[in-house]
Amino acid sequence: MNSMRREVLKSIAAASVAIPAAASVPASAAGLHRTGAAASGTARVLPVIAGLPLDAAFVRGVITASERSAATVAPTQSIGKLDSAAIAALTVASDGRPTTIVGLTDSATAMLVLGHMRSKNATVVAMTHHRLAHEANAAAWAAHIGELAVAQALSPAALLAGAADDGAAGAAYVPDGISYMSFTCVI
Amino acid sequence: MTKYTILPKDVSESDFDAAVKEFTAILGADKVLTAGDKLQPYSKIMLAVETDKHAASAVLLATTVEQIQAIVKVCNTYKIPIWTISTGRNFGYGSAAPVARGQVILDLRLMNKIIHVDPELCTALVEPGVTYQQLYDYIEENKLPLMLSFSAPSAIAGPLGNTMDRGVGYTPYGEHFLMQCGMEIVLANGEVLRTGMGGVKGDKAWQVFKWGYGPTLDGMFTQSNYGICTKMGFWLMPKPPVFKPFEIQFDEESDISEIVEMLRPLRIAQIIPNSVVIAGTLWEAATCNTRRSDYITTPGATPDSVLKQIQKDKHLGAWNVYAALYGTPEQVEVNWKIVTDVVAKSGKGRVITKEEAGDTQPFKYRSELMSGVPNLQEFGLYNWRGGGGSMWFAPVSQARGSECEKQMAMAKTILNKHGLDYVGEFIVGWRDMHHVIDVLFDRSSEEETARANACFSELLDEFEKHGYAVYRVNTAFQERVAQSYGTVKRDVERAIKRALDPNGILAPGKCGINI
Repeated sequence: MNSMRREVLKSIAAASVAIPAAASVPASAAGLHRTGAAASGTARVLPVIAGLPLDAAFVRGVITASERSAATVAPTQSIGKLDSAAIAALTVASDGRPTTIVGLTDSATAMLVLGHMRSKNATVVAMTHHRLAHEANAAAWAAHIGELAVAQALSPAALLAGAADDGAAGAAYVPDGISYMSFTCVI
Repeated sequence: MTKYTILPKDVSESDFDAAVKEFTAILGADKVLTAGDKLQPYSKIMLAVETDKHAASAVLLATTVEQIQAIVKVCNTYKIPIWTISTGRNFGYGSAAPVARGQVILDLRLMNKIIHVDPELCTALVEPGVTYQQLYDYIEENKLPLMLSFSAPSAIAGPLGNTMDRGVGYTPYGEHFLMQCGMEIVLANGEVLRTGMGGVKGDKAWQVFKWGYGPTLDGMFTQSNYGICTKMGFWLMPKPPVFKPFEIQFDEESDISEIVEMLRPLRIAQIIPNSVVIAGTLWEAATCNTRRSDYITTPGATPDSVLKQIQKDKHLGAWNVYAALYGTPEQVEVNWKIVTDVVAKSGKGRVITKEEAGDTQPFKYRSELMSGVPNLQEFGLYNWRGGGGSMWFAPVSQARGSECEKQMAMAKTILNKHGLDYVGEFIVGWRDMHHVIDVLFDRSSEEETARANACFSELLDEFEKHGYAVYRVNTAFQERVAQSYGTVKRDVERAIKRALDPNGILAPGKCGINI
């Protein structure tokens, strides 16, 4: 992510304000095509986790941001142990309705989810790799990533700013640190 | 400024407009994707190059052979290059993204019919989008006494794409192109060719006799850009009454030469009938959820002392050999005695049976791969370093201990020099070795990505100096690898390309082949 985009996202995060729903900001203004949840009225958000220490914090962030945007939150899908059935179940969990899928997982799980999203014609709004020095004190970071991931799907301004970013979420990128990947898709 | 994300090379916006309009008339608007957010999922690559270099200009979702015939005609009219994918899950070789920026992806995943499975002749005929999981479910639901062979990403990959890229599996039918029998190919001029017996009116032997009459053409459509495969037949292994997987662990990295010398005679004589795998510590640890950051967070190659600690903690060998016996109880009993006698005589190696391993990993997923049960366990490799970077380096060698030892030492030295780890395994074919190394790196770090790119280049260069070349490579290095195989071969390939595809519309640049 370039520094300008990072700054925009930081400002959104720092302000900690309610992020406007997509309907209030024309997608065309950001040069984006919005075909998913945000465009359909009431947004539906499906959190995806992978049995990692920061799962609960991430989901908390997703719920917070969803409530702020009056979006409904579907039951969290846990994809542990690289299970193909669980990944395929994401489509079922979306229940045939436009759904924003937001995840904070390991790289392998994210890779599989994104591959599945492509096969289902989903839109991948954002995906970002993260590196943390420690998981122990990263709950606030994970919650913030959850909030930002939802914001990306529901707000062109946040999407324009870039992917959920470590700096914006209050944790520095640490080379060779613990790896995570966040993603936002609309199916 | 164009309304498209990008345009195909040397194609004007007005020509692309016209082509898109015709594609839409053929496929319907919902099957022609040009919007940036719809193309984005197709650009997810794991290679050590910029994503933009492999960005597509559009995606076409075809559902019939007739549609593909119509599409190539449009492509010829407007000189539109198309890059065909089946399931597009060739992770580490380029995924779904095209070899060159601006190519239009022809995605055949919606052509996913299992046309037939013959349980008596043990054959199958499938479309490009059929996945191994789909085929496995079909076989299970219909209680057919058949066994699949697939590569490690099994569940989500498919037999047609894997075979066309000359991928391998882990059962006695693991040399997939060898087991292929009959292809249907849409040529660049829109004609449909059926290989082998497929062109004979009223023929019933398309999936049982590979050679047909005259030149056998199937091979030239693999790892090439001479046509679009829309159906492929292949042979399935009858499910044996007894399947006996086993592992042999060896403690020292220096044991590799002896391992290969010990196993080769058993493999060539078909005592061990499947592709034996000799996997290094890191490969097996990573597939079982071991992350580098669990042990070390300093940059660079992981020290040998850490590898030894992982080996100890995870109860692994420096080399972990996986193989299996298949057949009647009597056959398996005889062959088991031969195998265990050979190991005992060597004085090295701990034999571990299924009964001893239970449901522990990595034995469980290895056992599944050798018995045709799909799983995704090997994706754990991507968590070793994390960051989404992976490029397979897969040189071939003779199945000789000295060759493997030499290759392993060269690869480890080069990888470590670039601050990366040797995460490798050998797959023992009948007489060859596929030495498969996953060059894993953090793609979110520009510096590490640049190192990985330099490392991969050096691997190719240094191995070539010693007479080695890879059997398959990712889309970023296909032109480079084509050079390893000599100018005469390239000239022949180009002559064929010009004859079959004079406008160069089919995947130009694939495997280094252009008009």
